[in-house]
Amino acid sequence: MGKGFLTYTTAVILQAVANGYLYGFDIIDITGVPGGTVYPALRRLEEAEYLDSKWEEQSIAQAEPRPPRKYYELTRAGREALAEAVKRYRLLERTQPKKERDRKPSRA
Amino acid sequence: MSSPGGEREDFMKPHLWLIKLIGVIVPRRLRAGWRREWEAELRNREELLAQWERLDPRHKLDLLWRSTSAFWDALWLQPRRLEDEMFQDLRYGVRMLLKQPGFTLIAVFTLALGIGASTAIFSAVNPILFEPLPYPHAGQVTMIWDFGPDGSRVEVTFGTYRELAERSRFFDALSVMKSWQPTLTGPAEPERLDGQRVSASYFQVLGVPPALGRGFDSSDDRPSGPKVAVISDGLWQRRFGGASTVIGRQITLDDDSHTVIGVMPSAFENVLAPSADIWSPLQYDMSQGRAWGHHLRMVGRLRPGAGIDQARQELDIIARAPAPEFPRPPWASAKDGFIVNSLQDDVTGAVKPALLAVLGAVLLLLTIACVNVTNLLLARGAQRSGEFAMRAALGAPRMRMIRQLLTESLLLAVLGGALGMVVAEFGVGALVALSPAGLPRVGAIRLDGAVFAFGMGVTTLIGVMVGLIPALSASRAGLRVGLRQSSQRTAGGRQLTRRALVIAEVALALVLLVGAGLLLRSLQRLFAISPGFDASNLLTMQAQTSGRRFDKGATHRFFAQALESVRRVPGVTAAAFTSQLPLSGDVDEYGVQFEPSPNSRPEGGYPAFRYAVSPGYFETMGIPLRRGRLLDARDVAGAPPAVVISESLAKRKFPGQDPIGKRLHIGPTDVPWLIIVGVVGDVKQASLAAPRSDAAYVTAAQWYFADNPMSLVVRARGGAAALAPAIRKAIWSVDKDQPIVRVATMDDLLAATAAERRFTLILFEIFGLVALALAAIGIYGVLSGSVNERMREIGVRMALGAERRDVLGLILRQGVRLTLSGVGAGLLAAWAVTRLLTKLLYSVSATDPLTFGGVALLLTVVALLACYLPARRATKVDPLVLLRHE
Repeated sequence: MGKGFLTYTTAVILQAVANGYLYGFDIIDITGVPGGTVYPALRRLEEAEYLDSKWEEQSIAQAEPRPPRKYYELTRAGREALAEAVKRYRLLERTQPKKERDRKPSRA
Repeated sequence: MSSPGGEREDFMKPHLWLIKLIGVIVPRRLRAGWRREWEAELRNREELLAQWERLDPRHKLDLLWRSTSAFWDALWLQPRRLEDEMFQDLRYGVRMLLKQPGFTLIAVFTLALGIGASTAIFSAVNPILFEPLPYPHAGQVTMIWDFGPDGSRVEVTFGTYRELAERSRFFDALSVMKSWQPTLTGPAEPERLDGQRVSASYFQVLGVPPALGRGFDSSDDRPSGPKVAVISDGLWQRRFGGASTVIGRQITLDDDSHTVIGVMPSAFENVLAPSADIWSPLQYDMSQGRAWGHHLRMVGRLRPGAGIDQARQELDIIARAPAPEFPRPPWASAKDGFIVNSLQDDVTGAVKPALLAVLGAVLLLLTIACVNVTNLLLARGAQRSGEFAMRAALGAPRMRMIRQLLTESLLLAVLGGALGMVVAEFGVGALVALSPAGLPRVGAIRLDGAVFAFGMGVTTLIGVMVGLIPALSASRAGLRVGLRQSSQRTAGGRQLTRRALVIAEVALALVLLVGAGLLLRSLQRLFAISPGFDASNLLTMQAQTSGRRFDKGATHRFFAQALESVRRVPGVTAAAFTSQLPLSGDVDEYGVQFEPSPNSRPEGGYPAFRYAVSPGYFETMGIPLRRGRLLDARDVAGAPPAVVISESLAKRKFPGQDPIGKRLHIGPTDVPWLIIVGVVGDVKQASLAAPRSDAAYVTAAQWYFADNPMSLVVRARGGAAALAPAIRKAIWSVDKDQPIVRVATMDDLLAATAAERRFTLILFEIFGLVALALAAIGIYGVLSGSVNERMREIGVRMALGAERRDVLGLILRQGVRLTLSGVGAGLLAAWAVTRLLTKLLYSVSATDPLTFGGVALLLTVVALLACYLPARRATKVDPLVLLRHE
């Protein structure tokens, strides 16, 4: 991705993560962007070090029971890039609701 | 992870199967994590949407739909593949090769030579030995020959053809053919064409109908049938501009008007007469004198489902049971049956031994090249032992290192193969240019798909073979790190391998050189044979009369006048005409029947070459007279028919007696007897190697038909070739419309008879020299390596008082041991292998001691020279410098 600016779609995805939608499928649901676009964007963002990816704690998963999921978090660089993008795409902040912070996974 | 009973349920979930499937294309390193991520998301969603059985179809479809997105994700991950181990190996390998450009260049170049040469040879061998002929069901097309009395094959007579065509059931179609050279006259300049007169079923036998118009049918093939012709695509384009109006067009051939009724396809390859441009029905008239001459070739197509053996048996039965409606003269009695060969065998049979020999030679060369490169890699492995030791210490598994080294050797092979294709391209061009006239299917020699596949296959095989030993050896060395003793032992083991390889290399090179030497001696022996006449300063050409206006008398007059005119050309000392020219490929054979004496047993005909000559022929050619007199001006039409026979025929029929005055018939017996007036020396007609030389000579004036064309022989005072234009002008001064072709000096013809042998020899010589060079380089390399490894020992020796001379001797002795072992092994191998060459050798034994000894000596000398350089380097060691660096 390099030091260029984010595309609108990528910015939307980044915004979704910032708003608390940390899992791939949730991002798909909330942004309406198809999976075939979201996942490559997540990879790119991770490569550019705007996002960090982590696996859920086993304990949480086993409680359900289901396999541990991968989740994404914004890095500091990511937050700065998002701020830049918000300035550029002025409607960005208003297009997504913030997520209620009830199911945030705990980190290792 | 999932609920206990979940495993079996997973089976039924298509979205999970899809993830598994798509996962196949994800780069291996990332695969496990990728699958976990996707499966986790999908299961989670499943949970949220309730258990699987209770989901409605809409939700199931939703899950499936989501999993399809995984495909784009997997696709996006493809570039990460480059980080895969395989690509790491590749990048590392390229770096290593670039680090040592000298080594890489030598290795690649050596491999390119080997791969290129073998690919080029394969391209020549493939159409001849492996590919079927370019006809539908080519295996069903056969050639049928008659047996000559000495067991060799001869062409058939028309009567035989007629009988077999009627009586045989196993052939769909039979056709006879003879060559025909009509002169095409018209608005453009007259051109003598190469063509064939064929039976109506000829194109049916080959299975290739004309592309335009039609072929011949049986109504065309009657003695007074219509004058029609089928032309080749080449002639059509060249002379008629490829116009579709050519069908039905009238053309003038030999002063007769013919109608063009068909054009053959451009892809048509006529292996029976590769240069034929025009075909016309045979329209054979049995009442003419030549009806029972052996001068037709016969080809047939078997019925579908019939085999050659069945046909052979049937023809044998027919041969032994003559039918009254097909009477046979004594020299066409077919009592020995017929020779039936598949067309492919027939066309390629003569060159097969030579081609196989050349194929063997090039494979030897390839092996030598591989051995050389293996040695190079072993040497490099020794140099890199530190690198492998470190990798082993860092935990790299042995397989990994082997894989790394194999990747490098494959890389070398691929580079060598790519360059080799360029070499092959040149090689193919050279092969086609050098190829002797008799090489079949020259047009099909090219770099096509099959040849390219061969090249790729060889390259891959070499890459693995060449790299295997060094890979195993280097990785083993890497593991034994830290123990100085065992690393020495490993080094010794590696040296042993290298030495064994060099000995093998020298042995193989010797085998190749012995082959070349034997072929060379064969050729020398062949050219030491006298052809029976004086071939120096002799010019030959073929002249003919073409056209209806030339009846027998006019033809005789033309040749007589032409001869007069030629004799007047300054520089000409003698000239004469003959109906067949020795060593030119002409063959005109008749059965000679001698007048039976009162007490003799009845006998068959003696096959002999028939020559109709002008008086002065023997003097012009320099053929010596043995008894009686030569043909001269007395022997004209109306005078008693005179014949001169060759010494061999005289000895055969009249051993110890005087044949002068005896009488014979050449061919038809319903003409007056010919009286033997003289005996002359034997002349080689077919080739220097062919032993048959029974011949009978008559004057053209006394023969019952006028031979046409006739070959002119001219003895010149100085260089013969220079007189050609003047002689042609002299002939044209008599009649300017008659074509003159095949202008060649007798020396050229002599050389052409051995063209195939020379071709094989040239290839063997080239391969042999390259092999010699490679073997020398191989010895040099091994000795160099040995000197490097023994540096310390040499230093110590010199410090303890050894002279430079002693060190030189030390290294040279090692080199001599290597060389002699290689030469010894090579001599044994050559002794076993060269018997495969016997078919190609002429009057030289396959184990000729002179050749073996000579080649061994040559190889030893060259090898010793190669040893000298490292030996000299060893003597330049300064012991103080060396020991200080210990």
